[in-house]
Amino acid sequence: MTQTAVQLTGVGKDYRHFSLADVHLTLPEGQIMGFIGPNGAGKSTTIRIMLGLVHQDRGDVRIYGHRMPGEQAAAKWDVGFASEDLRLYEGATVEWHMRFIQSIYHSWDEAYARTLLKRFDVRPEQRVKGLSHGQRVKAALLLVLARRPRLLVLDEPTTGLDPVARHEVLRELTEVMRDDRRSVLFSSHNTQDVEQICDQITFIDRGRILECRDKDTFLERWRRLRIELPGGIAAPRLPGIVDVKQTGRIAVSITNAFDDNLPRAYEAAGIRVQAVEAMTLEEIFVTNVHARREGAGQ
Amino acid sequence: MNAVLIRRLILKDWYLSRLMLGVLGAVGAGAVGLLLLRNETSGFLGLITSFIALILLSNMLPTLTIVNERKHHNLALVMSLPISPADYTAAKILANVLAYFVVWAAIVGALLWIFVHASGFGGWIPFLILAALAPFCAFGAITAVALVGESEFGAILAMVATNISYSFIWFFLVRVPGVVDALKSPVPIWSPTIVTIIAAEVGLIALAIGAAFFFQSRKTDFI
Amino acid sequence: MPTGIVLSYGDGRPMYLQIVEQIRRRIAVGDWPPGHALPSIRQLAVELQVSVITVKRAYFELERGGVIATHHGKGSVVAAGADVGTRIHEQELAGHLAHAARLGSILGLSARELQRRLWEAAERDADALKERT
Repeated sequence: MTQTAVQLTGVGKDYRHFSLADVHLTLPEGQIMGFIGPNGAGKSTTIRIMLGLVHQDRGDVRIYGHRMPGEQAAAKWDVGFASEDLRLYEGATVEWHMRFIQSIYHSWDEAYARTLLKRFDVRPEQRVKGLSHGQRVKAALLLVLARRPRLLVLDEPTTGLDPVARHEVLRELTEVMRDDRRSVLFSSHNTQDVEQICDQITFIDRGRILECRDKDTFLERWRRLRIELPGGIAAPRLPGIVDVKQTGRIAVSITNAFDDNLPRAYEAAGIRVQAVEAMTLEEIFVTNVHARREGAGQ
Repeated sequence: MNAVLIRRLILKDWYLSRLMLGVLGAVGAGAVGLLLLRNETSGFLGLITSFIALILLSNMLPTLTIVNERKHHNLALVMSLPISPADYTAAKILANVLAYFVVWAAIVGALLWIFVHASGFGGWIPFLILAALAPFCAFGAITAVALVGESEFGAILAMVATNISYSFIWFFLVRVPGVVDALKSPVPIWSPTIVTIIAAEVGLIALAIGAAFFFQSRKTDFI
Repeated sequence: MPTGIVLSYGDGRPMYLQIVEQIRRRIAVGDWPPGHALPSIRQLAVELQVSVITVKRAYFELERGGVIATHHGKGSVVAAGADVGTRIHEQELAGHLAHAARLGSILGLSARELQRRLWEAAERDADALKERT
């Protein structure tokens, strides 16, 4: 029976200048979820609420059935967390951190840890103080990966990493997938990473979840259509069209509910469909955010 | 409460503060050594240095274990472990209080031993205990403020306030009837005044620790 | 056993399509004969560093096209049938022709002009083949 790794229902949190509201999120085990949003959208807050580090004002948070934050001590045995504001002790060595984590978690895999040290090019005897930013990020990830937690919650694990380091991290994240009982949730600016390895994608903007679907639905349902209109008329906003930009007789319309009926509907209205283009996750995301903000009268 | 994890956290804090603890321990040992030279100047210097060590420790221990951990973003690492906020609070308070107590007891114990075995200085003993508890009280206050206040500025304020207060306390203490006279006595005099003050100091330490636990338990955002 | 499939990220086409094509290619050249067991969906996802859902989609498409057969609980194997190779190429040709027709329409070429271009391409290919042998 597939368990649910992460379940957020109606979660809300109010700060002075920012509010998280109506957050619903479900991650079944065995999947990788990408969490995309602009800066300040609430990704980090949502992640902290998941870990029990921040107590939500409203709503229910469960990690493998454990209620958060009340049962956080029990839940965190199965969760590995890494974040930009999670730093290792500067005065201690990487080796010391490894021993410290190993002394707590019995699932620590020393052989895998040694492999990761080599792959990430981090020397264990080095003090954290002397490591570069990229090496610190990788060292922190190593501590989380080597104990093979059932759930990995990562707040921007590849941000600030050079392309080689990014590739290494992604490789280890996909390695987690070997076990269909393990799950990953990570937030990222980098839509390419998310597009590549994620099964599910959640968009968040200004404290609200915009969409939460499996990747295929996003990539199959969002399309850009290039259309030619007969002179003088404005492009009609057919159902499912999210955005239309027209100059003269040429227009570009974007839909989030594409199926074969749409080009036919255009043709029936005397509009020539010149091209139907797939959109990258980045384009989908930006369009989604703009459409929402315009819709809200921004 | 997870005793195993709390123990690991305490050991972790002690390990990370080992340099400071070692240095101040050595300073304390040196100060006690000065008293063994048995002349007035070295005795005076030794006593002052002992107090400076205890005051420094009261400032630096909470700074290293609490303030710096938050400032350097190490707190998330600790809270990512399978512990509750109550476990964290318990580990922090225990790590601090135990470490302080060990160093404090060693220095004060050594001083007391010297005074006990020095003829004619018996009257100093109650006063010594009274005075030595002052940095401990300051330590309790600073630790509580650092933990609950979550701000470096707040902790610094507590440190400055307590450091300044020693002069004021000394000023008022020597004017309390019976305190200075008791010093001249060759045997310890446990006057009601002195006993009350000592009890109040111990009470203050307990209050600070209790307040820390209480206010920590009411927090909803840890980071 | 690693498949050796390499994906291109600069390529505009969806990743599942690339996987489908790469698997078809291996079958067509005979590296993966009928009955050859494909890696499990998860194994391939990890090897290619793509999401499980992408590989699932690729396998689904391959099965739909009759290229692979999935036995519940036992994984997927290359479908039996001597004409799998030709069937793949037939499918490929149909796809390319449809695409050429679309491009021709976009460019505004007439059906006759399109035919001429195809004829020219076939001629060039035949010449090149003659030179190689």
